[in-house]
Amino acid sequence: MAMTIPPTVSGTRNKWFLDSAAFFVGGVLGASASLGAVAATLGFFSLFMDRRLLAEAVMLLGSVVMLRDLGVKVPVPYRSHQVPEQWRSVLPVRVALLVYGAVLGFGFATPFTSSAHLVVLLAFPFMGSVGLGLVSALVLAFGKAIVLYLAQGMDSYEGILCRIEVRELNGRLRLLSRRLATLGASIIVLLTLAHGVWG
Amino acid sequence: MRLDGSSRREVVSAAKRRISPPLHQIARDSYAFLATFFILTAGLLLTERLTLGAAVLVGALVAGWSSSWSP
Repeated sequence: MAMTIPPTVSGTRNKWFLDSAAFFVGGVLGASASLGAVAATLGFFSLFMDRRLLAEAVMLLGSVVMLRDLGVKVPVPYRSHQVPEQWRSVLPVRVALLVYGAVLGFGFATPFTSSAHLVVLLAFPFMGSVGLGLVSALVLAFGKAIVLYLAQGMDSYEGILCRIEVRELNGRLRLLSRRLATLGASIIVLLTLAHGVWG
Repeated sequence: MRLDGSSRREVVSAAKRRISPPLHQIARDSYAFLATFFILTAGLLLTERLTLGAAVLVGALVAGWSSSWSP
């Protein structure tokens, strides 16, 4: 995503801020849509399933998806295509960023990235708070938008690439640390869910 | 003025840069993010505020950030 997003060669600080804001708003909309879709699905199942049984199903699904972070190829409900790059050339930059944010925030329309995404979505309905769900969407979109900081003050795509330092980022240890962070996040979400239901 | 020509202010600002790297460096650094995750979780555990809501918020931040670096 870091390689795809930086059409934000905005130059000035104000333009960069507005471009990033457009991406962030798109991310919030997309994340809200996926949270709503998952909540509606689990809500439907809760009509004829016990809450504990539903929690068990969520924990089982979450645990299976975590195997994917460990390199096991388990099936996941994600589309294996990135956001179409041609949108950048046919849409105005800010609109393209809004749409990119929405698609990436939704999550399921692009390749699987981490188990934490699905685990967070599955656990959200058990919080019993729409407000916290909205905050989750804001936080998820913020997490995705952090990468745009790399484009701040840059007036060339090459400059952004230098800041990204692709080779360094794809190093084995950095990849491992990202997987550890996502696995850790999935584990604490599932453990707190189990504690809330059975504790 | 130091022997290498740098002033005290330059030496201090260079030391500060080493201690707190620029934001763009943090924005791309996986180690910094892993450390942030553990500090957040440890803080929530120590203050006994690790509720499902707090865990989901930490998870959302991690999920959002880590996906930035997917292919």
